[in-house]
Amino acid sequence: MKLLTHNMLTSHVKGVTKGYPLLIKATEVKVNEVEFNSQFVSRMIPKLEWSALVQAAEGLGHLEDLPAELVSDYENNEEFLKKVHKVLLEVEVVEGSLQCPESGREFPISRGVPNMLLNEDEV
Amino acid sequence: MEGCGVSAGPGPDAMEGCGVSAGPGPDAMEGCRVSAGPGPSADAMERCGVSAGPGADATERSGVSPGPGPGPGAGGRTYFCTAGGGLEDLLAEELHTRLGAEDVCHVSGKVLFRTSAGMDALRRLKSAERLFLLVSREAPVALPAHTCPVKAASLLQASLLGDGSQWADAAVTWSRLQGETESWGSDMQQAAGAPRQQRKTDASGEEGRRGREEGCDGGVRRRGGEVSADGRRRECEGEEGSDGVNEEQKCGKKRKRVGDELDGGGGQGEGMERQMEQLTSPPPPPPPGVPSPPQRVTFRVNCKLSGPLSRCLTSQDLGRVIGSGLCRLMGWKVELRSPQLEVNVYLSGDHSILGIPLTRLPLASRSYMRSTGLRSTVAWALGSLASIQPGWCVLDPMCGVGTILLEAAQEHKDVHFLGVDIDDGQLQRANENVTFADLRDRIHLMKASCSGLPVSSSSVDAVVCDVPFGRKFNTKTNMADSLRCIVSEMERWFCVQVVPWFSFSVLRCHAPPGPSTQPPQEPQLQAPPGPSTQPPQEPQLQAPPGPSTQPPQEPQLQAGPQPAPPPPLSALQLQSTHRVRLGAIDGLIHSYVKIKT
Repeated sequence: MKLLTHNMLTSHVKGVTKGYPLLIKATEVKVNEVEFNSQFVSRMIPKLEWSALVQAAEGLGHLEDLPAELVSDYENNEEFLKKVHKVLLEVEVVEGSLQCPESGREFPISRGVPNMLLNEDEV
Repeated sequence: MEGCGVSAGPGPDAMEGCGVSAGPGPDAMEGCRVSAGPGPSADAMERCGVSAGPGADATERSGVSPGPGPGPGAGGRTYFCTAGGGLEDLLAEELHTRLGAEDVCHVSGKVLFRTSAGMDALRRLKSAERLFLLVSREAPVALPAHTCPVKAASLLQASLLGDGSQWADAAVTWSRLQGETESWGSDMQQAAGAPRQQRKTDASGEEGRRGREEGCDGGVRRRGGEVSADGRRRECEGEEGSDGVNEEQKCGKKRKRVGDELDGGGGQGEGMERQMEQLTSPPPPPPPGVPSPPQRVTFRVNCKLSGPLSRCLTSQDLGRVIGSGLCRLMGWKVELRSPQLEVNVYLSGDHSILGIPLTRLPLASRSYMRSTGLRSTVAWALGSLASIQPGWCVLDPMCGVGTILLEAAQEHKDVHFLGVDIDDGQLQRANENVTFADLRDRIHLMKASCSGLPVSSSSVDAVVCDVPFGRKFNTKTNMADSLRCIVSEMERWFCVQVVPWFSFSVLRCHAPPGPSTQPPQEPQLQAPPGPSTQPPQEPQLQAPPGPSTQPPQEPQLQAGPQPAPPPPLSALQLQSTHRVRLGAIDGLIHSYVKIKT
């Protein structure tokens, strides 16, 4: 699971009102080099919940000096975009789990794919 | 579509067997083959005794038929592509936008066009099945009632083959285009390697000839086997765009039977052929870089026949007629197993189209796809109808092996794709596909149920989906109910964009394609059955499924990155509907746009 995907995920367990962001409990993290595409990154940034990204990256030990607040004029700041690129697309949680901040329900991540399937009584 | 017809050449046996001994008898044909030369010089023709039979009649009269030649004149060459039923207009649009093609016109299952684009661009067409060089397009052939086979053959040759000039042009163009495609490597290797095998000295006498004939029979057998296996596979997938599957299978079986009968001799023949190859010296290598027109073209004919003509003629007959006609007219040589070029003939009540396929593999078989789910052309169409823009997040809530996402990701570099499926096996294959296509940066996968997706509301810009309902996928739940949930969920995810909606027919899975235009799946989903342009799921949208799906999202809306008021359930507006044929079943592609209220 890449942090770009994590940034979109919320807990959807029945009764949960604040299911975002999910806490990452990683047991295996991989960093794969991915070709840098500045267009892609700068288009993704406005869609991100920045604080959630920073929090997740910090938790995994791959903060890459990202600032707590999104810098302005990031489109032309290639150095910054490269950092974001690395955090968003190169860092991957291979094994571990995601935890709902409210209910504590854990969603396992195996072989890089998070399993967000709920039991019938949780829907 | 490919291999649908008959690879029937006028081998002496075949000619005799079917009684189409029109014009040159078997001996004359053989003589024709022996006369090695660049073309059918008048001299050679006479020696073959062609002028005696009705064949000469055919060649003379054929000068009348004009036919747009695919010559490399100003404005490019003329091609045509086959397309799955219902995708013709999308292909026409793609030809316009991608190639700037002119004179685009489509008939059922085929799109004809003119372009000066190179082979590289042509090969990147996404909604086409196969690509052909157009040799000629004629008015439909009409045979008068009670025509004797001989007369019919000469009539067909006269109206379809022309005077040979367009065939000569086509062969030159074809070989030039093959030169262009050499960089594509493995695909054309077989075709490029083929001539070496076939360029045997023709003066190798009685034994050699016998060996060759039987080699041809072997070719029939093998080819038949291939086709029938192919046909079966397609039926299983239910994804063949052609309506000729049954016919193909029949042909395949028939030919297999023929092959079985000849089994004993076939092996012997192949042995002789090998011997012969050892005896013959290898041909001089062609000068590099210079595409020379094929001197001694080997070919085979694939025919597809429909309309009134199919009542008095089989594809095999037609194949023989065309094959013998080309042998005589052009001095080409029939080679069933690995010909240099194929000639595809499509005759229907509306048109007669003759062409030469330019690629061995269909365009629709993608090099970047390891395992396929939905037919690639349809998958591409879904992505195309979603008019995906840079910076979007595109979701497939039931991605299967990820075919739709892979097709869309090939086109859009700056888009985040999220594939969701409930099945581990499918996700595993999707993962392999994504890795194989080197798209791991853009396509991310997740396991979840489409009825409860853990994504923030309005975080998705477009949804592309092949909704798997009905018996095909063996769901136990009532799909109409599930569909209602899915649609209301879909509405929540995405902002203001298009949902291409693809639905499989349920009832027609095992039924032959009938003439009815009203698909049986609509009544099943729609409360008031009847011919309407309304999509089956529209009524369900307007009847809100109750508060069950709404409340849980409210908090997420506030927490989500882009808070938006919850839209009413009728906010999905139908933009377009496409009906596509997938073998024995029909599918509908619905595009919706969410209207902000």
